[in-house]
Amino acid sequence: MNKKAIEVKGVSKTFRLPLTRKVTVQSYFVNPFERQEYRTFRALQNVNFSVDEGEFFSVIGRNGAGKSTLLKILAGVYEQDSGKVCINGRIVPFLELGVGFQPELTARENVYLNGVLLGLTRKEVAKLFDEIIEFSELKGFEEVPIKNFSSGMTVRLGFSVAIKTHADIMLLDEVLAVGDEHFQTKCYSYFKSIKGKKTIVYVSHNLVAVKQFSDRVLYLDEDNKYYVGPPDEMIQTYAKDVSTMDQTN
Amino acid sequence: MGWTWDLYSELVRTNFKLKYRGSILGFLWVLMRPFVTFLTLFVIFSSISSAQGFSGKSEYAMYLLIGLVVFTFINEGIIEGMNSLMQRSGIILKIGFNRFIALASSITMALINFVINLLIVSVVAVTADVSLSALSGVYLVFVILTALLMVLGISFFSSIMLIRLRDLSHIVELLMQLVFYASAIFFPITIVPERWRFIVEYNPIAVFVQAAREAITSGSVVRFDYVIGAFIFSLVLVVMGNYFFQRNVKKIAEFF
Repeated sequence: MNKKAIEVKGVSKTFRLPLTRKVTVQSYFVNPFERQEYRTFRALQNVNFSVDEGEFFSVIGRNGAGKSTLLKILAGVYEQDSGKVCINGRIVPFLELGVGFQPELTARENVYLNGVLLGLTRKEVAKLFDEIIEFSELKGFEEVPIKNFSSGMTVRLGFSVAIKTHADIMLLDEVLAVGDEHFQTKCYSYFKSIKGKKTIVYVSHNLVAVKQFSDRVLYLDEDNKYYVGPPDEMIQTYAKDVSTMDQTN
Repeated sequence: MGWTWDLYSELVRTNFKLKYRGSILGFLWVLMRPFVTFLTLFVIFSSISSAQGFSGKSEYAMYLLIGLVVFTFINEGIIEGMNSLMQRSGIILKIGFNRFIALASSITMALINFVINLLIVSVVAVTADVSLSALSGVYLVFVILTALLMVLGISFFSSIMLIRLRDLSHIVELLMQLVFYASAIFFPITIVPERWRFIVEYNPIAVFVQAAREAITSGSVVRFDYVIGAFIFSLVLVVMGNYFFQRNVKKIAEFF
């Protein structure tokens, strides 16, 4: 009945981490026959799930469980080793706020740059510009180079561009907690307002927010196993795993 | 398509602004760099130029200037092209977009600077004998296009290789310094001893420089067969490079 926004079928990803890194020509000449040693790190193994249109889908798990890798695969930054990813709709990765921001450039220039990087045309940015500045509460600072901004101001600007991109699918990597309290409230109320209208994939350690917003949760554990289910249940499983791990340590 | 173009032009714009923002002379620096090199070389070598077959100082000035401008273009294209992905690791790690746009926008910078530099040439040209004809004008464009294709073809490989092999930038910079002396930029080809002549005769950058020079100053088409050959070779290089680039570029985000 529901249309699928994201379908992930049998996706695996393994990283080969070189132990001694050969990045210079010199190292090739000094010892050309030395075999490069690798440690393989399996981030994802045969992961299957789908996200419905308009669903708020969260991903939880400990550090190194593959959450960010999964998000980067969805965003098209990494390529999976095997498996398939189908995405229906325009996807905007929110892996970092203010991607491409240049300190030397003004707020206006950065809004254009960032907006275009996130998939808007220049024309669309021009149309949205006033809205973006208004939401970021940076009126009067349009022509100021952002190197003179406080970190909070920069983050607000980045956040405002990102939420105005009118994506169908948003990938959020722990960006909800930005800015001061006032701005945070604004962000959360924004997320409440789009909940159900946009598809959101949210990666976070903030279990309170996960519980509050999510329709379903994907839990990636340390042994490349994964579970998909309702938030309460998944958070419980996660908490139990964490506590048993703490005990054995 | 509309968006791809916007992304490309936004990257070019940003590059340009960043390079010259905050400097008093701003984009005059584009003109300054080759011009200062030109003045230095001119002051040092113009006194001996008449002995080397140039009819006057202004003829030597044109010879030197065109050489510098063409060389600067190719040199910048090769270096910018090589650094294009590395430079943008920040956005490549966070956003999936056609990486070719990053490469193309970097090379475009070199092309824009070249067009600006041509302005100096046209200023100096007023004082010298110039006989650019319609035919040689077309040939000039073709030569520059060939050089551009070659730069693109090389950059397809070098931009990817730089990520795994950081030394590459030093090697290439050193190499280009040698090529500068092997391209007869500030001396006539005739002073090169016969047995070393082949270096300037077959080095593609030297040939492009030579062809551009003759096209502007004497209105003639020289080294046409070589340039055609270089054009075909560059086309093949671009096709192969593109294949290599597309195959490997998907993995580069893991290696920054």
